[in-house]
Amino acid sequence: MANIARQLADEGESHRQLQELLPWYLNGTLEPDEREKTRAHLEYCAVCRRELAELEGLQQALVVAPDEAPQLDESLLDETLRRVGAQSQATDPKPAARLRRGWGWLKPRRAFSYSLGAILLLGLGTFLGFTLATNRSAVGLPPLPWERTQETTHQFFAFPRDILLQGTLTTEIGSRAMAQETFTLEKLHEGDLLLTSKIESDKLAGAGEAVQRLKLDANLRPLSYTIQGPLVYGGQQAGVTINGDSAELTLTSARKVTHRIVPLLGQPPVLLDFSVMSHFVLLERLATRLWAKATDKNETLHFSALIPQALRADTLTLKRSNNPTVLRVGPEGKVLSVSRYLAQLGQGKDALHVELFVRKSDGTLLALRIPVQPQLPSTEPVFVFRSDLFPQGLSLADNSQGAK
Amino acid sequence: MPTEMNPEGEAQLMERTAARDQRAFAQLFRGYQRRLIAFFWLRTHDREATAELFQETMITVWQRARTFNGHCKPSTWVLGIAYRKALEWHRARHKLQLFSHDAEADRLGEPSTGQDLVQAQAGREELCSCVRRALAQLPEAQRAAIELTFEQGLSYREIAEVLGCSPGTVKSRIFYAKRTLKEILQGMGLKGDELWQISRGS
Repeated sequence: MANIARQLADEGESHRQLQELLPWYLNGTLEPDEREKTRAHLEYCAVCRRELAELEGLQQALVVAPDEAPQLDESLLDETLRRVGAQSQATDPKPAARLRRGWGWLKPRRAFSYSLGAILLLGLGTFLGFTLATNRSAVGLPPLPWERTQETTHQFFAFPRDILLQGTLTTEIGSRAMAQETFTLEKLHEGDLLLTSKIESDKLAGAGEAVQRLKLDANLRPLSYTIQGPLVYGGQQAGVTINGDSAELTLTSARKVTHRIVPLLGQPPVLLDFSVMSHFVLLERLATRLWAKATDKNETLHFSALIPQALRADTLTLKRSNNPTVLRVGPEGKVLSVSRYLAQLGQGKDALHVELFVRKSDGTLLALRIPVQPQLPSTEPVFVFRSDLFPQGLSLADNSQGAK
Repeated sequence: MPTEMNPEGEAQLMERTAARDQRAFAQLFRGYQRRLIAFFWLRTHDREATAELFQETMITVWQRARTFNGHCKPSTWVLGIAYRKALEWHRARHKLQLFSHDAEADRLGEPSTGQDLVQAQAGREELCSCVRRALAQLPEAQRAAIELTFEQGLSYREIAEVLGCSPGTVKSRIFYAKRTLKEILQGMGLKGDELWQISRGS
């Protein structure tokens, strides 16, 4: 008798336990063993079957149909982003970083105005075969907020992302600062790199963002690029797919897609656009690797410069200069002895020359100089330097001026 | 059943949000929009409050993303925030509008209304609406357990996480909540078998 009483008590307890699981039997979140026990119990327990039916009724009563719930405006997301953006700015302990961060895309952009910088970029753009947009309407709609990539900030250091390179480049024409570009090169997956460059300028009323995704093989050889940026590329998205000894360049705008297949004029191919100075950082990085592997350390490297936004490719050579080069930190600071690389884009009298200044110890690109050249409109050289490393400024010391 | 984001992708989005990536945050915002709006709508039946609570929840997600340590699914963590926002809203509203709450309760309590419904062989939609109104009268913790189970599709372990109680408590809460719900329905003049009727599609 005692056994039977216990058995009944056990079953009662089991019934209650399984009855309590019914809500989650219904919503499908039970563990497999719980689900199986409940299912078996339901087969012979009418009380639980009725209970389950009632719970189903409760569930159905609670279903919020899509047309029942309020439909929210798109503006709620924008407003929320504005609020969180404002909060991070208010709590940011570093004013300098705040200046760089600037959620520029949340603010209406002013019309692009001409300035020396704009003319210079326009000149380079023309040289490279494309024209910069001259007003906001021609630039087109900015990408949607969630399609944008967060620009570089110091917070990336605390971020479990694989940041390979990060820095800020300031472009000066003569001694006037024209633009500032923050860039981050991060590794997304093996061989999949994301370069984000944000260009800000007081002189150029528009601010630009160039986002590039590079797929590389094990030898750092690019397999494909995609690029997007509202200012630099006039709202167009450029893409490159590399296929053996040719590349397919694609330019996508709201209205049309243009393709062109161009032969590669040297190996490896690199991407180049003079408005995005961080391209040179990548170029230098690639060159350092190639020279490290080369038998002749003074060998001239040959690249194929891909200029997708102009749908063309050009030869690019890079060689080391033997001339001693010295950079000066700040107006009267210490001097740095650096390596100088000479880049030449194109051939003959139309070729464009750029000098790269590289720290000897670790191959970091510290500065760039674009000398005055007949095909460029500027009457002063363009100097670009890593302002995050040298906030006090960096310039070419007098005894290095004009050296080639 | 709510559609869920892939939990791994979601955890990544949470990490990126912690690092102040607005793009990742925007993805979370969109991913949770339908789900949280249904959650708040069921509780408030107020369009503005729903939008506001949803926005407040997401802003808290942004502010506290760094404190998310992966001990539970991101969705459980987010719903925990949403639940506390809803509680705050109810408390504030209760204080401010006690009189209107009482008026509503009186109206619901009118026996004739219920009798009419029964006599008129109330349609399924009306029954659902009665059940929802009855649900609003349940103690807060019981109501939340029911909504998280049936509207949000959480497991009892996840609900325990959200409500900060033991899994056993969650189970017994629903068990008692359902019993109380039937009593409320009867108190409204209904038969008390409306849940069963709804499930039969009457």
